[in-house]
Amino acid sequence: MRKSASLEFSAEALGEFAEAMMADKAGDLEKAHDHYRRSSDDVKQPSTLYNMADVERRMERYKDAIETYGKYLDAAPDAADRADVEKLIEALKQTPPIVTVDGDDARAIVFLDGVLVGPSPQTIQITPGWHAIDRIGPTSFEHDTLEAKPLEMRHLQSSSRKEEVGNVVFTASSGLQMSGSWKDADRAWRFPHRNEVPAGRYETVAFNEKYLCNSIVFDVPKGDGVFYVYIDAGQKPDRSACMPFTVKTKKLVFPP
Amino acid sequence: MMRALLLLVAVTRIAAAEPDDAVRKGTPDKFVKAAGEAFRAAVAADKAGDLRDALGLYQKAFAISPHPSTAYNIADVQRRLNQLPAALKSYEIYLAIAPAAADRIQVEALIDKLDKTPGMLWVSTAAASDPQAIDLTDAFILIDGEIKKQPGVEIHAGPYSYREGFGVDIRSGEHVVDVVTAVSFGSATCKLGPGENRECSVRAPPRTDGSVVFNSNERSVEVRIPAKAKSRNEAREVRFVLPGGKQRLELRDRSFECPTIPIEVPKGGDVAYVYASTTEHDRLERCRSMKLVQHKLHFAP
Repeated sequence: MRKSASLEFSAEALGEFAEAMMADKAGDLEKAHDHYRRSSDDVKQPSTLYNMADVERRMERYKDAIETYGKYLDAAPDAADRADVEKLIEALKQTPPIVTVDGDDARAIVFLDGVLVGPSPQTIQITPGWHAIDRIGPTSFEHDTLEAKPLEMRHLQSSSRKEEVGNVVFTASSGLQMSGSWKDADRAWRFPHRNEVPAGRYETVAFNEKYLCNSIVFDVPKGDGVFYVYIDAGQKPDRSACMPFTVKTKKLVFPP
Repeated sequence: MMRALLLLVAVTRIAAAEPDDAVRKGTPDKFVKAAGEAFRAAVAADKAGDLRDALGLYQKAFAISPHPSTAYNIADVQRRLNQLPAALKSYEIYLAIAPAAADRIQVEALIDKLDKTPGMLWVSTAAASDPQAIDLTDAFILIDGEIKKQPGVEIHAGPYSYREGFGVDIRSGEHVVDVVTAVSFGSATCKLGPGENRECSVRAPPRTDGSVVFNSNERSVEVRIPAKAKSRNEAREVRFVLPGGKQRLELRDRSFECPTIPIEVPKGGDVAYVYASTTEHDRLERCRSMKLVQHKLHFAP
């Protein structure tokens, strides 16, 4: 995908261009980008701009790549590959958001929208829109909601300094953007949080009736271990009326 | 010399160059007068065997008015002067400004061959008067995670003005050299170009306890030392103590968590050596892909 230099380059710019090509071929993209940039310090040559954009694309710096491909088209308005580059720019603009989930607890596992993704760390390509991410370890729990846009890269990091224990992880989809606590007749609930409760069937009204249309019902099985309770009330927050929902539950298994 | 003279008028055709044969191109048509004069003087110096003058004159011509033939001849002289890194760059310049050159395939092959010309890394240590000198005879020497020398293999008097040590033929580039003995660990990062010889001196504190050695080719890749996890002690180029048996190493790449590495920590005086390398650039928003190498380093009791 690399373009060549031309005799319009100065000798110095050609030296930088050659260094860039060598670094690029050797896989050192950072160094290649530096040399391409230096080779175009004086005059913005279309071929250098194109190669810089190509390196930025391979470095996953998509916003930069879109801008630099645009500069290439400005510098070479009659480029033979104009249509291809315009198509590439449009494709890059649709790059799905990527989120990296990690933290201090090396035995943690990661859930996206209530579905187990795998052991931490995870780098996940997600659809644009609202999402809920849970990172749960033997003694930790982190819940995040985010609205992701194309081209975004997010890093969600949880710290072991925030230790949480409790056999029931009580969490929800991004539609239910609430946190806090409430009390039933005989039990206090914290949400999103880990709650310590004995085995049995539970029925509780979260916060109060205006948020969720029904009470939450779930079973906590007998035995040791951590139990995941996920209230799926859709992905987009909506406070105009009470929210219908379903409850998903799962027993958690942590890596050794 | 005759071959070079013939090629002076045959502008574009290049034969695959023998290591010490001149393969010049003819005077470019579009040179400005000054560049043309410098170019002709360079050819004369080249034919007279005065390669350094020839190089300077070709470079002068190129600075006045860049031309593929001049770039090629600069590369050719640098190759014959054994200035391989500079020759590689000049051949790249030639290809960059003459992408459709008839000899492109031959030049690319020549670049590949020159780039792969091994150099020699001479691993040595400080003088015996320095407390941080290492007993290289009883040491493992590892380069980029590969064992190059076992304990008991003799070291030798150094060539040139190098101290006594151990020579390893190796490709050009930057290399991580680790020296591990039963009681110490030292490391150095040394760089050499194609065909170059370099001394790489490694020193180490006289005593470093530990059953695990970790190192990486990237400064920002660190291991969390488990016994000190609460204090967030993370390090690269490190030897530390872990109980024998199955363990997991936690790595960090900048602020990113990496997948844990299962290791078997030997009991007794042996050492588990772990080397993590990555070729991905350091702006990725995640722990980069790592190539992991593990060795059990056995030391006689």
